[in-house]
Amino acid sequence: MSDLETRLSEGLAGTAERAPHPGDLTTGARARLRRRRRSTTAVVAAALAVVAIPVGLTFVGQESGDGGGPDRREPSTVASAPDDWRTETWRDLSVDVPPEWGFGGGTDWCADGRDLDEALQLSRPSGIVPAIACTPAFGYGAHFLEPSSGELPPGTEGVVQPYRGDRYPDDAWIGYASTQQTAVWVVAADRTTARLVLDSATPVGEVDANGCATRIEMGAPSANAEVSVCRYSSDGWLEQSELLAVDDSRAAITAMESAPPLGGAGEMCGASLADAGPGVVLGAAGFTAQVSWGPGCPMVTVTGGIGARRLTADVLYWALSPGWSGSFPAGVPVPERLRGQ
Amino acid sequence: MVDFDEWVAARGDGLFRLAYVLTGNRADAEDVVQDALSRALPRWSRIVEVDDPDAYVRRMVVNAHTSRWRKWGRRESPVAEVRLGETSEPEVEEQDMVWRACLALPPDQRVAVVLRYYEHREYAEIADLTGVREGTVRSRVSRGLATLRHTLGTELEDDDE
Repeated sequence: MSDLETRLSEGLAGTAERAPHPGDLTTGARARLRRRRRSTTAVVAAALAVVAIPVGLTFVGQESGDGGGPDRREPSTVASAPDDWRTETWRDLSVDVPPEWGFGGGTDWCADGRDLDEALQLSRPSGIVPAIACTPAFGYGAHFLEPSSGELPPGTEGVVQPYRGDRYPDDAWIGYASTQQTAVWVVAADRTTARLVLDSATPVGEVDANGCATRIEMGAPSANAEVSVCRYSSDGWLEQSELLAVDDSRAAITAMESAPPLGGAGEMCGASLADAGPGVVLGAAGFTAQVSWGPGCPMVTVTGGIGARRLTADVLYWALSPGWSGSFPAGVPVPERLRGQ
Repeated sequence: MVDFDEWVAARGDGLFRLAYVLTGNRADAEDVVQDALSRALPRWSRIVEVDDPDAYVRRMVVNAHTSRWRKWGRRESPVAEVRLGETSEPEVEEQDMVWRACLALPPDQRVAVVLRYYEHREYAEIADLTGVREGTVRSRVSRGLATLRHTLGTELEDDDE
């Protein structure tokens, strides 16, 4: 071996010896596999939407028939969370959380005077965050936030580690995952739960596991009978997604079919969802409905046959997923109660 | 059957070091190794039955690296991670200089050189691993060495100034 070859061999070996320690390779590999499988499922679902027929549901006089497309309920993870966990998305990042985790601003445990263990929450930046001086600042749960907010704590992404400090419960297990647009903090009392939730964190390419596109302009044609409820913020990003159960899907579709038509040129307003402010897109095989409640223009616009309808309290009931918090302008028919209350 | 997690716990660092030498930084190295492992996982029961599972997965790491730089339009320009603080160890400085010079090679030459002088593979093995003829491998290694000879020779002259 020449001097150069010897130098090269020793140089590369020495560099390798001083290489930093990698993160959790196994966890990262599993997350990638899940992401790859979800992206494949979404592509197949979109392709089948053109010819899919709803399963057992009727809409605008369509005959029910055999359904098509993949079953979203089919597990798509390798080391997956329990089946009864639900998928929550904010912008382009999804996590699976236990069913007992509610919704809020992350500080509700203190505002409501509850124990930390009783107020497990999924929080989003748009959630209500009472201005209170509590320690810790946030309770257990999964907390979405903007990476640029400067609130990311120390630690390596994807690693679950014990926490010491005032921001989260002392002795909690915490970890985070992020994309360019989104970060999610997982805070749990036990390492296993933190690990399971963090392992489920998945960047969403175009369509999340609930059938919602990350951007409102992208659209997500559905091939399934279950209705996807996709709420978007005024900047077009996916704010929250939900997949209704079959019975709830029937009820949502019935509510839309029962809404009175918008008739006459004088009643048309807000041609696009962007004009009407933040809104919700509901979709299932054969139709897409945009629900908007901008000032003076509460309406639901449905593609797939029935056209524009006047927004009713029943439609709004299904359009607002549990955990929604906000206000309505005058003239919007508000349901007696919201789902999840 | 060897458990996937146990195997990664035992071999993962070695895979990572190979990827680190190829890519030049920790993030890209993790990306490459995790990509390879995510593809190995569904096939793990079959991989453990081959003669040399370690070599099989190392091949997947090399392929993942190659796919990565091809995917990004061959715009890859790896930058070796900055080492914090000065080192007074001339041996470390020399090794670092060699590594940076290697990273500056075109990706196909870099892969061939790393497999030859870090992994100590025969030309036939490198050909099999990279999917090209043995003659092509020898050519890539030869051109890589010529560039390194010029680069490292020039740096030595600068040091003497």
